[in-house]
Amino acid sequence: MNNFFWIEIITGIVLMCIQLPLMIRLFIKMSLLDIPDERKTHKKPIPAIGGLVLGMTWIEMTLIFPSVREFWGAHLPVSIPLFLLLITGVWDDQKNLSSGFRFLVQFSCSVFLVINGITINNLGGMLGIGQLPFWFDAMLTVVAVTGVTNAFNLIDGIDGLAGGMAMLNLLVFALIGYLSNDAGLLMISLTWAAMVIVFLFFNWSPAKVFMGDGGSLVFGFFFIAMGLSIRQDQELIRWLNPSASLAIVAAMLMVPVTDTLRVFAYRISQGRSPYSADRNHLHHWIIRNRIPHKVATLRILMLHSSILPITIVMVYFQFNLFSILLIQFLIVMAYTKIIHTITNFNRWYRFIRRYEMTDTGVKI
Amino acid sequence: MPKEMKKRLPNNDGTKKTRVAIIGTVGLPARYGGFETLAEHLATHMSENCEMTVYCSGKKYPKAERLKTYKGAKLVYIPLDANGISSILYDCLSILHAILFTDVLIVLGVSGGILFPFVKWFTRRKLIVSIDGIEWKRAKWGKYARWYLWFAEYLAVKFSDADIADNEAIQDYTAIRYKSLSHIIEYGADHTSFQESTADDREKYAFLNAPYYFSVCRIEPENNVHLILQAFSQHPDKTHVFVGNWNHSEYGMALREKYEEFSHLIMLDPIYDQRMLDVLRSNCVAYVHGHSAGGTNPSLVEAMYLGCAVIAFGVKYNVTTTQGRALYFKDAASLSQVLASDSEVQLSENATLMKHIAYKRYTWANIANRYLHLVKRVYEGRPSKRLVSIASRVLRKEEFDQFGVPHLRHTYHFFEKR
Repeated sequence: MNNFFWIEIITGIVLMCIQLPLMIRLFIKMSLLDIPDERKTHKKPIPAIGGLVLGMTWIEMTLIFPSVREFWGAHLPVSIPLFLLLITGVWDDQKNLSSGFRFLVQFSCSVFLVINGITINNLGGMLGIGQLPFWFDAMLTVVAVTGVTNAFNLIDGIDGLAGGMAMLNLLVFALIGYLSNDAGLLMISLTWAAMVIVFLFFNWSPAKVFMGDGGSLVFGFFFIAMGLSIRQDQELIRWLNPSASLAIVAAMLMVPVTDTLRVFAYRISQGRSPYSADRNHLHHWIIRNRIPHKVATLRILMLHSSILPITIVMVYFQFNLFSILLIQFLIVMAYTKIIHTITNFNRWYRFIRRYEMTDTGVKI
Repeated sequence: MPKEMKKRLPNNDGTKKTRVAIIGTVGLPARYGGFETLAEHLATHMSENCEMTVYCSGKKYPKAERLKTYKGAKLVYIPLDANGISSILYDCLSILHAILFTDVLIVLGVSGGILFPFVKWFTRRKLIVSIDGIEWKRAKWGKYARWYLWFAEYLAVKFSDADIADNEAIQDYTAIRYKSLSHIIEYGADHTSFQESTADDREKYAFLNAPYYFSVCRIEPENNVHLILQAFSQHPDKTHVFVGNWNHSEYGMALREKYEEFSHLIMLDPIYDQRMLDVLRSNCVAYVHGHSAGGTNPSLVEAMYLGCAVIAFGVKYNVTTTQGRALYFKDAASLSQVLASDSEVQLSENATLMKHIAYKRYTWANIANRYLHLVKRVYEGRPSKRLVSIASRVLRKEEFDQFGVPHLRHTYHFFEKR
């Protein structure tokens, strides 16, 4: 490894810095904006083109640098679905595709992964299961990949959250790339992380641009697919057993996945479709306490980044995979429960303040 | 006291009186606040029928001053402070002690709430909790203390055999939050008495010679001291006497400095001589009450009993305490308006009304009687009234409307209670 990929990083930053403001202005001129509705948390129409510009930059980089081309060529099972999802996502941002079609694309992408042999493969002894039988493995992988892609898409609800989480995860990938001597992965992760930081400057509250499905679908898919892909890396397997690598991949995805599962479970318990709209995500609950978006984002990112070190400690002390996943899940759930309780308290507090002074039936 | 009540109160074997513990006060003899006065009068009035035990703070009563019994009540000293954050531990220790030696626990304040489920599950002791206002809303507590008190109140109400609200507004609150019907028992005021001013008094406090408005409270933003001073500063013709611990806080010192230049605003340091305080209260034109926290405020009740006209902050609690018949303000402007338009006739009518209400509702014999009645009721194991019907545990809110029976959601129409 040498300092060669500084050029890629800087080129990525420069391209983003040039294209993002230009595209924002262009889209505002063309009035291709995300119009706020009841459920959305923003007030002004803002273009949702983060994914588009990140994708553009990604393609340009692939065209410019042979090393980038080489990396994506070597990871075709990941890069082809990523490209497909990018197009679908960007298209969806502008034209609002039907959820059925979007789901079909996600499903095909995960099937494509399975066909190319990127699967969960080995549960590392969780619940007594090691190597998975093929069909079960295939089904589990498809469900996991589609689920994670969707989950990442769903947490993209307040300024900087999906972007911040993507950046943190990319740094983890960079670390994995560094430790497993995978120069390509290190380069791509750092370049993307740098690009996402530029995006975050524009996405940070008050946002001038949103990530959109074009970004969140791509990132969601990238994390699970790349996570599963590098588990098969021989260099990595030497010092990280299948159960540990799965735990670390799970650590990167536990916040969005747990939140989505919780929200879905609640909606189903209410007799509604799991895709019906409400404001029940963790970030909704936090901002309900009149906490600024920035702070809410930072809190969830803190939660997110606290899970990885805890996981590493548990891996070091050889916890079994099931208990690691359970503890990760419980951390997120406990945090959510605390937020719920605080919200409930604040709601009563506001109620009492209003209650004390109204309806006294006396002219004041 | 009715005779049959006396007969039924002894324990089942007919040999002993019901043993009642009063928990959550600083202690007896009462020197501090509302709860202590309440405990003293409960001890006085109830010890004939019950074996009373009052828990006292050992920190406030040094060994030399401690009594074994006071007015018929046994005193137990817990070596902790009864106020502030240590009140949680103080209440809990008192409860743990009391479940060993008493039958009915009257817990004043909710800070011991975390023990209530355990008392309910593992003992046969009966719990009565008096919710002292909405403590978790008050500014004097820190964030975490408020969260704790909010939760403790939930446990206290859910796991007590009866809960006491000292004000209708608090009863409405518990009905909304817990769907349960609290018993209303306020405070008494007849430990104070009207005092004519003597020549000595008039010499000491020259303002007694002319009409004056009066306030007494802790100098805290919650008591709206700033509003009252601001409004009175606009009326140089109305003398206002304000007694409080001005030097206790930044807030008080800043206010004192700001309003010192107004000669008609007389700010006095706390007066510990009860007779002197009663003289000042008894002879004022009107008592200006700025409290916004808590339920029924003892100081307001006492002022009403002494026959003062009342101008009160228009928070729900004060309105229900005065039965909506006093004068109210919600900010400096409205207080200023009240002051500009009040007449001597109006104020004296107001004073008479207040006195009537106080004589009818706020006497210790009445209050203690209701406590006794409640103790009896709880001891006999009669369940407290719930506002939610059995049907509402089965059906959902929408289904009541769907079936056209929304009136079945609440079995007890508590808004008709008055």
